Amino acid sequence: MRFNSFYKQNKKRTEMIKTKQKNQEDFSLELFTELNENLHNIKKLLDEPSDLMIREFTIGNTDHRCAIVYIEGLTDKLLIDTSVIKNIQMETEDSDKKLADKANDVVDQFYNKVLSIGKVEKVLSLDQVSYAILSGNTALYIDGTDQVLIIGSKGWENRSIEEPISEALIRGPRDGFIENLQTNTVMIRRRIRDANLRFKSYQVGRRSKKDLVVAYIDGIINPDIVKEVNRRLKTIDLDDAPETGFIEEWIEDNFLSPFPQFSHTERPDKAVAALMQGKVVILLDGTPFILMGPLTFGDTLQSPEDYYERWIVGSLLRMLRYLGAFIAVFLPALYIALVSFHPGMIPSKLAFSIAASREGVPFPAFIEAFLMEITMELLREAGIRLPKPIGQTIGIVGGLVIGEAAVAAGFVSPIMVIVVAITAVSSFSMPSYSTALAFRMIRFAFMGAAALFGLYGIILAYIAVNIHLVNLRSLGFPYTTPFAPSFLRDWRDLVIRSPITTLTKRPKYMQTDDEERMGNKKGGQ
Amino acid sequence: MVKKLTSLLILGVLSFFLTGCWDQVEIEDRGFIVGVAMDLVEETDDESDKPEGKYRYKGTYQFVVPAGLSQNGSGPSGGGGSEKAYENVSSTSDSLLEQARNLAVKMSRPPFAQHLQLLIVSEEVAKEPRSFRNIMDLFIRDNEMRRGIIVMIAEGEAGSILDAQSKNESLPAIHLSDIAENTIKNSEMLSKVRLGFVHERLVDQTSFVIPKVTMEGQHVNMTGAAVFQGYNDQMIDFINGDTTEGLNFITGEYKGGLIKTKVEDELVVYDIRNASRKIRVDVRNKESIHFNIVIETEGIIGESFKSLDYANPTVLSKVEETVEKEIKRKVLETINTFQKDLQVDALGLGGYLQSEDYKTWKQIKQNWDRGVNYFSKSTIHVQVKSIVRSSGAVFESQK
Amino acid sequence: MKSFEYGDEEIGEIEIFFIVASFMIAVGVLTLPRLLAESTQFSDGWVSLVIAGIISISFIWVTAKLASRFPNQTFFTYASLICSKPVAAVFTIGIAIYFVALTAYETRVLAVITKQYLFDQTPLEVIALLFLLVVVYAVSGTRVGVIRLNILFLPIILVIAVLLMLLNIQYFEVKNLTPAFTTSWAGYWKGTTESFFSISGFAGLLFYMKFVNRPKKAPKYAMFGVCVPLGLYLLLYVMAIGVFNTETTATLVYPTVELAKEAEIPGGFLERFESLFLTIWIMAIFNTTSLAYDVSLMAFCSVFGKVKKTTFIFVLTPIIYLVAMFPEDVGEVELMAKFLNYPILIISIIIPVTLLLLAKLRGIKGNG
Repeated sequence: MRFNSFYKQNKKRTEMIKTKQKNQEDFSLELFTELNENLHNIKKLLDEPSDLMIREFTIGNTDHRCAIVYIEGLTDKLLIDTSVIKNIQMETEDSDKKLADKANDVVDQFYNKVLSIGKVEKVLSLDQVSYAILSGNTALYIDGTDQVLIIGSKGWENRSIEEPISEALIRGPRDGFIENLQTNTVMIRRRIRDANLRFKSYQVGRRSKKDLVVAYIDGIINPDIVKEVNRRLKTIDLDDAPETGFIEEWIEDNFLSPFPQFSHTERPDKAVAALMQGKVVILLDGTPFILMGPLTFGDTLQSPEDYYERWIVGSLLRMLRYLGAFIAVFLPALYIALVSFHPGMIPSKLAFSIAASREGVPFPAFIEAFLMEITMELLREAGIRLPKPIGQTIGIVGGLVIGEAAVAAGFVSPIMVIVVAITAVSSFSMPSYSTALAFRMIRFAFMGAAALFGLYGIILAYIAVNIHLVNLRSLGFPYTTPFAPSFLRDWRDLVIRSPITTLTKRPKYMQTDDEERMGNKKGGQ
Repeated sequence: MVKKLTSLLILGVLSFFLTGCWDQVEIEDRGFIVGVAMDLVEETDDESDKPEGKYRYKGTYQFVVPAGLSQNGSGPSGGGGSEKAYENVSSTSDSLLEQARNLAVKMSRPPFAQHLQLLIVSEEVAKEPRSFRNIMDLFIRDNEMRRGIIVMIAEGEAGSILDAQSKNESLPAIHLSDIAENTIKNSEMLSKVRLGFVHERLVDQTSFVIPKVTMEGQHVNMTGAAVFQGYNDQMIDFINGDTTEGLNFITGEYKGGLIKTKVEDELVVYDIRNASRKIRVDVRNKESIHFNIVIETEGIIGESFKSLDYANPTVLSKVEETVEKEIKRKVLETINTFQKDLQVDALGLGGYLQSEDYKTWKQIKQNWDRGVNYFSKSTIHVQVKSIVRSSGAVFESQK
Repeated sequence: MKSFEYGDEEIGEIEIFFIVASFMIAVGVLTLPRLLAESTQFSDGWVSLVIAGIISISFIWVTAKLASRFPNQTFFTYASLICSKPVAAVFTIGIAIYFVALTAYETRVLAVITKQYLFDQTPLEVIALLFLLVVVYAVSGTRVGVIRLNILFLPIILVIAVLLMLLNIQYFEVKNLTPAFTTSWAGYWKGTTESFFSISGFAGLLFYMKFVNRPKKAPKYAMFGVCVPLGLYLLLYVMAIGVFNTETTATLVYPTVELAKEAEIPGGFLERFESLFLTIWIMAIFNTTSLAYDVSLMAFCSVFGKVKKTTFIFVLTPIIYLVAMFPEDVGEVELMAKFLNYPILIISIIIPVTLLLLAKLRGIKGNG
């Protein structure tokens, strides 16, 4: 009942708001010729926020009034002062030109002659005006006309370009994307001077109206991908998308899957590499993380460093990562299976010493492993939440002290601590954070399977995961390609990374428009 | 439809959580058996109505005591009275499986044989007709057993050998099976015999040898071997270390060892690093089959009591000659033992005959080393070629 | 969220190669060395195996040739073209029933072997049920998904098989292989018939060919596909004879698993290789079972076009489970295998050959 009444109340309230907006008589959503009216309207629309700046002044030495409206802090003040206000106030005076009689012509004159600013446009509705102001532009109202000039004056405080924290590399570019969309597109632009590099703009968020850019290289990308991405992005209906994660979840193929179907990065070089492979890149304003798709399983274990280091090293590191992935997923499960079901598989002497070390441990191996893995996950979570210096301390305190004490207390066996530690280290070696998360998740499923049916459980779970993977798609591309719809050519850059000179073609599984990466056979653009 | 299916699947999987795990036994709850020894107790009463085997065996099972192992590992924490890392438990029955099941009554941890390493059968058991194969049956049949279990024949009581002490190894069974690996240093030992090998011999009915193990005070001795007749798998006799050495030369199992020779009345020891042999068969007449064995050895001068100039080729060839003579003597002695005394082809010569001339072999197979015994009648020639590769670090250690 | 099609419902000739190969590698290989050792002497079994292989290859060629005459058509469609519709329906349903029975048989044998080597107390019913559930999960997905699983698993299976052989080389005795050619003709014949069933033609090709995008190349790749199990069987057989000798091989229930039991991993970081081997081999059996189930579903769906695939899965799965659990002991399972052998002759030899001949004689061709 209580809930019900609350719901009713709530409903009433929303209705009230709606009617308030609709029936509000004290302002209108249209533009008028009268300056005062316009200013009143914009004030009322935004409810006179404290950071709204309205500066009224006269044009040149005439008495013709005009006003600029902007949000303080979102705009480049210097630009407004020197290129807008100064020009309007001074230029017309100096040139001693007669101000055009018709206000509409004033607008044109300003547009053509006065405003020494690159981005100026005419708008005709209050909606557009408010959107422009709220995104950091300046609105120039001129008395006597219902046309408003929008001056591109975005300029707010940005985080400077820094090294990406989540994807540190030893060798490779040090810059990372920031929260500003424009800076991010610039970073891509600076790396690809191809006329075919396309940035397609979208707006997401009913209320937040954030800019979203889809980048791809025309002529490389399979046009179907662009169409598909476009179709999916059009379906987005959110009130806000604070991070690309929202976009990802909205447009991914299977939201029930533990595996990510888009990769994300804050490294421009990674984004560029994806573009060059014929992938699509999605950038969102307000987050340094961009999305890249389609994603295949092989991609999740690759790092840009594979290409920056020499190919032998790169190949070995990749194989190491595959091993790491295997350990991260299977080791605790194998421990459980071997210790509880198949001790015959453990070498005799090791088996005896495991038996000795488990002497007095009260739990079966599964509970033991589960407890330790949960502890590990908690430590990791705690380490992330805490400020950096404390986070590290927690890692050490947790890892060493809890591990040591648990063994001393006979709570777990020392072998278990080793297993957990190796698993944790292996899962940290994954270059993709979201893949590492997926692995961490399915690790527990494997542990459960092992606890019930030993190796048989593990292999059945493995087959089941594979069944899921072969049915999984990313932007319509099979997740297991180029392994399972086999493209042997692409194997050159999969588990191993062949020398750059042999990678003359783009991945075949991407079905790109232009396959040649090197040589002058085709791509002379 | 698909939703229903998935929910059905999930329900199916979940139901297993309710039923529990049938085979889950924690590692510390298992009684690891590492060694088994079989002794003969008595013949059973034939008149009894109960189905019984012909003999009653006493099986001694060596269980690992993990706690004892860890104590040894952690050093002097346990003080003087350190716990033994193993426990030998005996059980008597005519059936081996019954013996093992009887152990479950005595031990808190049920017996688990997947880590079984060693099987010792006493001479008494092996010499009784059919007894040896009956014992082997369980070990070959049971899925818990490996085919790599090492089989040995004990001179005297087998059970007591599982008490052989060693400072290095806390488990006697491991100790013994490690000794069996030492054939590279000593040629009077037979290379280890795996259960799989025994199985093959039981099936193909060829005669074979199994290493012998004896207790000498506190220590074990593994020189010599037990010879088994192929068709009934019954042990005939032991052979001594010397004969075993000759046997190793013939079977090509010679891994390394030494030959003592006298050169100019002083001892020179030839350290064999590599030995190989080739066997040719000549079956013109099945009454007199000729075997030609060519043995080649490579080695170095291991010890020389006589100061000889090993840089001199003539000296070397002289040493080689004496070595060849000595090897030939040993091999011929072995052949003599097998042909005349034991009358059993454990040398594996029958196999050569089989692949060389299958028709003849089929005819005489039943009379090869029994009945007419063509094996004893055959002539075996031995040729030895020894090479001294070096004389060690010096030519002469004294003047 | 609808996804756009990416060569779905369309497979290449490489996929044909993989499914033919992995369909044949299953439980047959575990017993094959015994069957050959029982009927031939020393290492002569390879002759039988090669003859069986050649026969199998020629019939897979016939099968593939027949199916590639009618690109993008189901077996039922073109069989109705060649002979009448009722006859085609009988053929198709017969094949479907055979593959249902095969699914049940594979499930049962897997459960038997798993219980013998990996478990002790766990009931057979549970092992089989779990396995069947995973198979159902696979076939209820996309059809190409099943095929892709084969591609993913086959290399792992081959690697473990090669590893098995490498680890056994130290026990391999060339002496056990000789003397050569001592077997009687009857022995060779028996060996050929025994081994033919383990690498017998894969009639599923009749159905999968519908999805092949370049049917002209497919017969060649199907023949290559048979060569993989043939090569593997030859190697495993020779290995078993070399390690155990013929008499012993003939006494072992599962000589291939026993080979794995013999093997010792150098460095000794893992013992009892047979557990690992069997665990991986479950994937091979899974491949065969899921393909067999998928083929029977395809056959049923092609005849009863209106019924959904999931409905068939719902109906067939309990039946498969019951059939799998029907035999009471190992002897009855062997009997089941024998019963399953005879339809192979009809399905993979008589049906393709007669249909191809009729098609040639009547000049019926697909519209592709």
